[in-house]
Amino acid sequence: MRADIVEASEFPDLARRYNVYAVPKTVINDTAEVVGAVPEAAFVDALSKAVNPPPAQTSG
Amino acid sequence: MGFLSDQDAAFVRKRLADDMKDDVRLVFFAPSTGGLALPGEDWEMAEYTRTILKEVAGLSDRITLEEHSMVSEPEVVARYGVDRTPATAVIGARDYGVRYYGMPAGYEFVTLLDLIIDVSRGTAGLTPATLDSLAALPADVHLQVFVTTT
Repeated sequence: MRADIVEASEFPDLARRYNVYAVPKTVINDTAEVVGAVPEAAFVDALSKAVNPPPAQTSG
Repeated sequence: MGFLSDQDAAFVRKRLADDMKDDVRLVFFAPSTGGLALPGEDWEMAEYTRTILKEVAGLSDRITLEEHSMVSEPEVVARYGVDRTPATAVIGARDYGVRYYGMPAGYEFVTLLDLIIDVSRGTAGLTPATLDSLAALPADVHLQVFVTTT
Protein backbone atom coordinates (compact mmCIF):
# COMPACT_ATOMS: atom_id res chain seq x y z
CA MET A 1 0.00 0.00 0.00
CA ARG A 2 1.15 3.47 -0.84
CA ALA A 3 -0.15 6.55 0.98
CA ASP A 4 0.34 10.07 -0.31
CA ILE A 5 -0.55 13.19 1.66
CA VAL A 6 -1.21 15.93 -0.87
CA GLU A 7 -1.51 19.67 -0.26
CA ALA A 8 -4.58 20.49 -2.35
CA SER A 9 -3.76 24.18 -2.71
CA GLU A 10 -0.29 23.44 -4.09
CA PHE A 11 -1.45 20.92 -6.66
CA PRO A 12 -4.64 22.38 -8.13
CA ASP A 13 -4.59 20.01 -11.09
CA LEU A 14 -4.90 17.06 -8.72
CA ALA A 15 -7.53 18.85 -6.64
CA ARG A 16 -9.54 19.41 -9.83
CA ARG A 17 -9.07 15.86 -11.08
CA TYR A 18 -10.47 14.42 -7.89
CA ASN A 19 -13.01 17.19 -7.22
CA VAL A 20 -11.48 18.18 -3.91
CA TYR A 21 -13.65 20.89 -2.35
CA ALA A 22 -13.42 19.98 1.30
CA VAL A 23 -10.54 18.40 3.17
CA PRO A 24 -9.56 15.92 4.26
CA LYS A 25 -10.56 13.86 1.27
CA THR A 26 -9.05 10.44 0.65
CA VAL A 27 -9.01 8.98 -2.84
CA ILE A 28 -8.61 5.21 -3.04
CA ASN A 29 -7.09 3.67 -6.17
CA ASP A 30 -8.28 6.65 -8.23
CA THR A 31 -11.82 5.31 -8.08
CA ALA A 32 -13.37 5.62 -4.62
CA GLU A 33 -13.27 8.39 -2.07
CA VAL A 34 -13.85 9.10 1.59
CA VAL A 35 -14.68 12.68 2.51
CA GLY A 36 -13.88 13.96 5.97
CA ALA A 37 -12.04 12.53 8.94
CA VAL A 38 -14.16 9.43 9.49
CA PRO A 39 -13.75 6.90 12.32
CA GLU A 40 -11.17 4.17 11.77
CA ALA A 41 -13.68 1.33 11.30
CA ALA A 42 -15.68 3.33 8.75
CA PHE A 43 -12.55 4.14 6.80
CA VAL A 44 -11.41 0.52 6.74
CA ASP A 45 -14.90 -0.51 5.60
CA ALA A 46 -14.79 1.99 2.73
CA LEU A 47 -11.29 0.85 1.84
CA SER A 48 -12.29 -2.82 1.74
CA LYS A 49 -15.33 -2.04 -0.41
CA ALA A 50 -13.28 0.11 -2.78
CA VAL A 51 -10.67 -2.56 -3.28
CA ASN A 52 -13.03 -5.54 -3.37
CA PRO A 53 -16.14 -4.33 -5.14
CA PRO A 54 -19.18 -6.61 -4.90
CA PRO A 55 -19.53 -8.95 -7.92
CA ALA A 56 -21.64 -7.59 -10.78
CA GLN A 57 -25.12 -9.05 -11.27
CA THR A 58 -25.31 -11.53 -14.13
CA SER A 59 -28.40 -12.43 -16.08
CA GLY A 60 -27.60 -16.15 -16.60
CA MET B 1 15.42 28.92 13.86
CA GLY B 2 13.30 30.59 11.25
CA PHE B 3 10.11 28.56 11.23
CA LEU B 4 9.53 27.46 14.83
CA SER B 5 9.60 29.68 17.89
CA ASP B 6 12.01 28.67 20.66
CA GLN B 7 9.05 27.43 22.69
CA ASP B 8 7.65 25.38 19.81
CA ALA B 9 11.08 23.98 19.01
CA ALA B 10 11.49 22.85 22.63
CA PHE B 11 8.07 21.18 22.51
CA VAL B 12 8.85 19.38 19.26
CA ARG B 13 12.29 18.31 20.50
CA LYS B 14 10.74 16.77 23.60
CA ARG B 15 7.94 15.05 21.72
CA LEU B 16 10.38 13.50 19.28
CA ALA B 17 12.68 12.38 22.09
CA ASP B 18 9.79 10.83 24.03
CA ASP B 19 7.92 9.13 21.20
CA MET B 20 10.39 8.08 18.52
CA LYS B 21 11.77 4.55 18.34
CA ASP B 22 13.62 3.86 15.06
CA ASP B 23 15.65 6.45 13.20
CA VAL B 24 13.84 8.30 10.45
CA ARG B 25 15.11 9.64 7.16
CA LEU B 26 13.34 12.56 5.54
CA VAL B 27 14.08 12.08 1.85
CA PHE B 28 13.26 15.40 0.23
CA PHE B 29 12.83 16.04 -3.49
CA ALA B 30 13.01 19.59 -4.86
CA PRO B 31 12.81 20.62 -8.52
CA SER B 32 16.55 21.14 -8.42
CA THR B 33 19.27 21.59 -5.83
CA GLY B 34 21.60 24.52 -5.49
CA GLY B 35 19.10 27.28 -6.04
CA LEU B 36 18.67 26.94 -9.77
CA ALA B 37 15.10 27.92 -10.53
CA LEU B 38 13.51 26.09 -13.42
CA PRO B 39 10.66 27.65 -15.38
CA GLY B 40 7.26 26.45 -14.16
CA GLU B 41 8.58 25.00 -10.90
CA ASP B 42 7.60 26.50 -7.57
CA TRP B 43 11.10 26.72 -6.15
CA GLU B 44 9.98 29.09 -3.40
CA MET B 45 7.56 26.49 -2.02
CA ALA B 46 10.31 23.90 -2.25
CA GLU B 47 12.73 26.16 -0.36
CA TYR B 48 10.22 26.78 2.45
CA THR B 49 9.67 23.04 2.67
CA ARG B 50 13.40 22.42 2.80
CA THR B 51 13.67 24.97 5.67
CA ILE B 52 10.91 23.26 7.66
CA LEU B 53 12.44 19.82 7.18
CA LYS B 54 15.91 21.09 8.12
CA GLU B 55 14.57 22.54 11.37
CA VAL B 56 12.76 19.32 12.27
CA ALA B 57 15.83 17.23 11.52
CA GLY B 58 17.85 19.56 13.70
CA LEU B 59 15.61 18.82 16.67
CA SER B 60 16.45 15.12 16.89
CA ASP B 61 19.60 13.04 16.48
CA ARG B 62 17.33 10.31 15.14
CA ILE B 63 16.17 12.28 12.11
CA THR B 64 18.31 12.92 9.07
CA LEU B 65 17.47 14.96 6.01
CA GLU B 66 18.50 13.83 2.53
CA GLU B 67 18.03 16.26 -0.34
CA HIS B 68 17.59 15.19 -3.94
CA SER B 69 16.74 16.80 -7.25
CA MET B 70 13.81 15.70 -9.42
CA VAL B 71 15.76 16.90 -12.41
CA SER B 72 19.27 15.57 -11.94
CA GLU B 73 18.70 12.37 -9.95
CA PRO B 74 16.16 10.31 -11.92
CA GLU B 75 17.33 7.00 -10.44
CA VAL B 76 16.58 8.20 -6.90
CA VAL B 77 13.24 9.62 -8.07
CA ALA B 78 12.37 6.24 -9.57
CA ARG B 79 13.46 4.40 -6.43
CA TYR B 80 11.10 6.43 -4.26
CA GLY B 81 8.34 6.65 -6.87
CA VAL B 82 7.69 10.38 -6.49
CA ASP B 83 6.06 12.19 -9.37
CA ARG B 84 5.93 15.85 -8.37
CA THR B 85 7.63 18.31 -6.02
CA PRO B 86 8.11 19.29 -3.32
CA ALA B 87 7.92 15.69 -2.08
CA THR B 88 9.13 14.13 1.16
CA ALA B 89 9.42 10.38 1.69
CA VAL B 90 9.34 9.57 5.41
CA ILE B 91 11.42 6.42 5.86
CA GLY B 92 11.79 4.42 9.07
CA ALA B 93 13.22 0.95 9.60
CA ARG B 94 11.80 0.33 6.16
CA ASP B 95 9.89 2.23 3.50
CA TYR B 96 6.24 2.05 4.53
CA GLY B 97 5.16 3.80 1.32
CA VAL B 98 4.34 7.18 2.84
CA ARG B 99 4.96 10.36 0.85
CA TYR B 100 4.14 13.97 1.73
CA TYR B 101 3.53 16.17 -1.32
CA GLY B 102 3.70 19.90 -0.65
CA MET B 103 4.79 22.11 2.20
CA PRO B 104 3.98 20.78 5.71
CA ALA B 105 3.11 24.18 7.17
CA GLY B 106 0.37 25.40 9.47
CA TYR B 107 -1.74 22.59 10.92
CA GLU B 108 -0.05 20.15 8.56
CA PHE B 109 3.19 20.55 10.47
CA VAL B 110 1.58 18.43 13.18
CA THR B 111 0.68 15.90 10.48
CA LEU B 112 4.35 15.69 9.55
CA LEU B 113 5.34 15.18 13.20
CA ASP B 114 2.72 12.45 13.65
CA LEU B 115 3.98 10.84 10.46
CA ILE B 116 7.59 10.85 11.64
CA ILE B 117 6.62 9.29 14.95
CA ASP B 118 4.33 6.63 13.42
CA VAL B 119 7.00 5.66 10.88
CA SER B 120 9.59 5.61 13.65
CA ARG B 121 7.43 3.27 15.70
CA GLY B 122 6.41 1.19 12.69
CA THR B 123 2.80 1.44 13.77
CA ALA B 124 -0.07 3.92 13.69
CA GLY B 125 -1.95 2.59 16.70
CA LEU B 126 -4.60 0.80 14.66
CA THR B 127 -7.00 -1.72 16.16
CA PRO B 128 -6.43 -5.47 15.67
CA ALA B 129 -9.61 -5.65 13.56
CA THR B 130 -8.20 -2.97 11.26
CA LEU B 131 -4.89 -4.77 10.97
CA ASP B 132 -6.71 -7.97 9.99
CA SER B 133 -8.68 -6.13 7.31
CA LEU B 134 -5.58 -4.47 5.96
CA ALA B 135 -3.73 -7.78 5.78
CA ALA B 136 -6.52 -9.10 3.55
CA LEU B 137 -6.16 -6.30 1.00
CA PRO B 138 -4.30 -6.80 -2.28
CA ALA B 139 -0.80 -5.40 -2.41
CA ASP B 140 -1.39 -2.58 -4.83
CA VAL B 141 -3.57 -0.04 -3.00
CA HIS B 142 -2.94 3.67 -3.50
CA LEU B 143 -4.33 6.21 -1.03
CA GLN B 144 -4.20 9.93 -1.71
CA VAL B 145 -5.20 12.06 1.25
CA PHE B 146 -5.87 15.67 0.30
CA VAL B 147 -5.20 18.28 2.99
CA THR B 148 -4.69 22.00 3.08
CA THR B 149 -2.75 24.47 5.16
CA THR B 150 -5.41 27.17 4.88
